[in-house]
Amino acid sequence: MTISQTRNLFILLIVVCIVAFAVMSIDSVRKVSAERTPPVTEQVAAGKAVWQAKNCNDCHTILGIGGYFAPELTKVAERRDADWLKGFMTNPQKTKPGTTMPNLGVSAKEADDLVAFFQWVSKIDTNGWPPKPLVSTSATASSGAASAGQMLVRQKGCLSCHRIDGQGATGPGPDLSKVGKRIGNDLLTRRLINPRDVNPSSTMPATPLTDSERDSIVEYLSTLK
Amino acid sequence: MTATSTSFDRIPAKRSIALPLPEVKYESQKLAFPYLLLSTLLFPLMIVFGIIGAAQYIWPTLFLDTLNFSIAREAHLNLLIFWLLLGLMGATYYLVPEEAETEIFSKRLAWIQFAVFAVTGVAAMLVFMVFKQSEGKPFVEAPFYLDVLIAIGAVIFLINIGLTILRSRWTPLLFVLFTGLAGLSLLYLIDLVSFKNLSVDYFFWWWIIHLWVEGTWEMVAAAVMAFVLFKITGVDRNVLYKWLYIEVGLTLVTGIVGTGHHYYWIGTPDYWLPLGAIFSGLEPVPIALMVWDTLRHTPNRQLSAIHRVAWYWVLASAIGHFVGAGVWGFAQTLPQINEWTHGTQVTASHGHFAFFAAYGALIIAAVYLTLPQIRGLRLFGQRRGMWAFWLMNIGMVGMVMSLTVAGVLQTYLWRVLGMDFMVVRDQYLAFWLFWRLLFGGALLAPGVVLFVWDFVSLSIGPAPKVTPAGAPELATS
Ligand code: HEC
Ligand code: HEC
Ligand code: HEM
Ligand code: HEM
Ligand SMILES: [Fe+2]
Repeated sequence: MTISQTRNLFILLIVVCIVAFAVMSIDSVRKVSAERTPPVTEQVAAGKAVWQAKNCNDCHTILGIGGYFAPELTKVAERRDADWLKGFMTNPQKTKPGTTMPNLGVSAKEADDLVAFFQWVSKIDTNGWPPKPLVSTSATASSGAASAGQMLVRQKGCLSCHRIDGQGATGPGPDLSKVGKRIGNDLLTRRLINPRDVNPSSTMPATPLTDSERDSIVEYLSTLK
Repeated sequence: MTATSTSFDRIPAKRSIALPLPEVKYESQKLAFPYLLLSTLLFPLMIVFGIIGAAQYIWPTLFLDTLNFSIAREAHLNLLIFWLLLGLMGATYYLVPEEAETEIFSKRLAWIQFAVFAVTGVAAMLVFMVFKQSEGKPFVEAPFYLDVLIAIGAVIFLINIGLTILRSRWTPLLFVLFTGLAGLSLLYLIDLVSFKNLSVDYFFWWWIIHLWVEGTWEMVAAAVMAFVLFKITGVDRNVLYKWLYIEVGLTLVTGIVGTGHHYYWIGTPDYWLPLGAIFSGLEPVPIALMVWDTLRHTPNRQLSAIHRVAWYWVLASAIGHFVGAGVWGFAQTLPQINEWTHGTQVTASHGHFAFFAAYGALIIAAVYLTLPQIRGLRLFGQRRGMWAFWLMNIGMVGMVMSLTVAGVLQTYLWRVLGMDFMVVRDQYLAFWLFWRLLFGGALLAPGVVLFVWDFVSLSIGPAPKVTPAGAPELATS
């Protein structure tokens, strides 16, 4: 092959690739907007704007993209509830003493927008990513009311101070993996209504819970033995 | 040139080496100098922010309220892109006149372009660190008005280079080079747009990131590499040209649709799973060809002793490109694996290895090839250059290995066992991330400092003495 034949083949192949890629891209963007992501409301868009203006993405990954320094947030709206997220983002230290997420001056409105954004992101069809862990710990194997309690323990931010079976934080609260052995249901209930009732010098906050939420959590904690 | 040079072949390389080279053929090749200088000065600055970020993994409260991790990372990444692009532009200014056999169209435009980029660079750092503004997408966080300035600089550059070539001649090398430069500038324009839908935003963001490093930058780098090889080994130009087309052609054929390896999990349709896997899985093939192409010139290279440092960097670039981009990239490119490793320290290990070898090392090779000629040096010590070479390369390989171990561990504990992200980071990865910091801080960083020192001393050092017979005096450096 001469040089000019090589060049012509080169150009031809590349043009074919670019055209094929462009066609698939148009199709992809159409499907992403129409089917694979929920509609983008004004609030979701505003949340995304805050997310980018504060450069959260260079510490956190979202959809697996970004800095590897801080927790992946694609599904954060599934593991934390809106109140906890809002409290944490506006004032990380207050919600979780000792945390190393900086206070970035997120206002209450911005936090609402961010929550809407995270809820939107958690509903993107990601082909099943992130994958479920392969090995289930005892904490993930329980069922019924206990598993509702288990969800709540996550969502209400208990795991941002406590650890259960290797999940959650190392402090300031004690490890709760065997708490059912130590503490009976009554005491657990009283503690959740008002921690200072049980331990006057407690620094644990009284998390607002409905009666049934509290019951589920107590039921779950009592199975941890 | 060839006759004189062979006689220097057996000069012991650790000592100073004579350069029996003419000065630059075209005056405007010296335009490369300001670009290479700024590039070289920004390189250590980038390292400083890398070290801060790495240290924050170990001491999370370091600079928490002044220069937190996200600012350190954005500075690290933007300086990375900046010094590499400046380096590639410097190499372009050097090689275009020689390849097109004419002076650069306008020296003034080249200086205006340089000023635009220099101002934008300083402004970007101020914006990140003092005004804490960001566009919030990694690698391209500069705010809109700076994006516009960068685009203007790029247009001036393309006009200047384009008119230079048009006035004279297109060679295959110039064709590949210019298409690459135009393509990468065009892709950058995507950064001027933002989409409200995060998935769409990231869909096009990958057109910048992926189609840069696995497409258009590869074209520019392949052209620079071909030029460097030609200068060092004196191989037949036509052979180089043909291989250039074949390698770059395969790179693009696999790399364009290969973008699909970033479209597995971001909300894009599932046909990208097989497409991304197949095409990106073939991406190592052209890289392997390139290594072979480089290595096969080794036996008949004629200026080996004189271009020792440059040649070492060429080898490091070719081999590292294959291992860092080809092997480390391939290792995580199939969906079955990427599902678990996506967005972990495994990604960081590959990002470092590939960027450093494919682009960083190549630019340093180009510096060692061109700087002595720009300066008209006939003699220069290579010892410092070799120390810098080994420190940087050992440091980088050590960093990459630490990150790889950390990444595999993280994948297992966090993704497979489902342990908490922060517990894994602080209690299991800290040890390995500390080694990353150590390799980076104690080996790579001093290597970079030595390189900058070498660059500066080559730039301002006194002109070496040459004996009347033309035989150089061997200085002991
Ligand atoms: C300097 C790095 C940094 C930046 C910037 C940052 N974060 Fe964080 N973020 C962290 C760290 C570290 C944690 C983990 C804190 C802990 O567990 O104590 C965290 C935790 C979180 C969590 C809780 C995640 C979980 O699963 O418990 C949310 C939500 C969050 N960040 C949102 C944000 C938002 C929104 C922004 C931007 C406004 C942001 N972060 C910016 C470092 C950062
Ligand atoms: C801001 C941090 C924080 C949060 C959030 C938090 N705790 Fe606590 N928790 C503590 C601390 C500190 C202690 C130990 C001091 C004490 O006895 O009150 C504690 C103690 C406990 C104990 C007693 C453990 C023992 O062995 O004596 C239980 C049970 C408990 N917490 C459950 C919960 C539940 C359930 C939640 C979520 C609704 C929660 N905690 C949220 C900090 C926290
Ligand atoms: C002392 C040397 C260095 C240190 C300590 C360092 C540290 C870091 C840190 C902490 C990050 C952020 C990673 C994260 O999000 O967790 C990073 C990212 C990155 N660095 Fe470096 N770095 C160094 C040198 C380099 C060099 C020489 C290059 C290339 C020439 C480079 C290229 C990159 C790239 C491409 C990323 C993004 C990685 C990704 O997104 O996967 N770094 N570096
Ligand atoms: C010189 C060439 C290359 C460079 C500079 C490079 C650089 C990078 C960087 C910086 C990232 C991280 C992006 C981010 O922040 O998320 C990345 C990701 C990736 N690269 Fe490369 N790369 C190159 C070639 C390749 C090749 C040839 C392959 C495949 C064979 C490959 C496969 C991947 C994959 C699969 C990811 C995604 C990792 C993840 O899911 O987190 N890369 N690359
Ligand atoms: Fe890629």
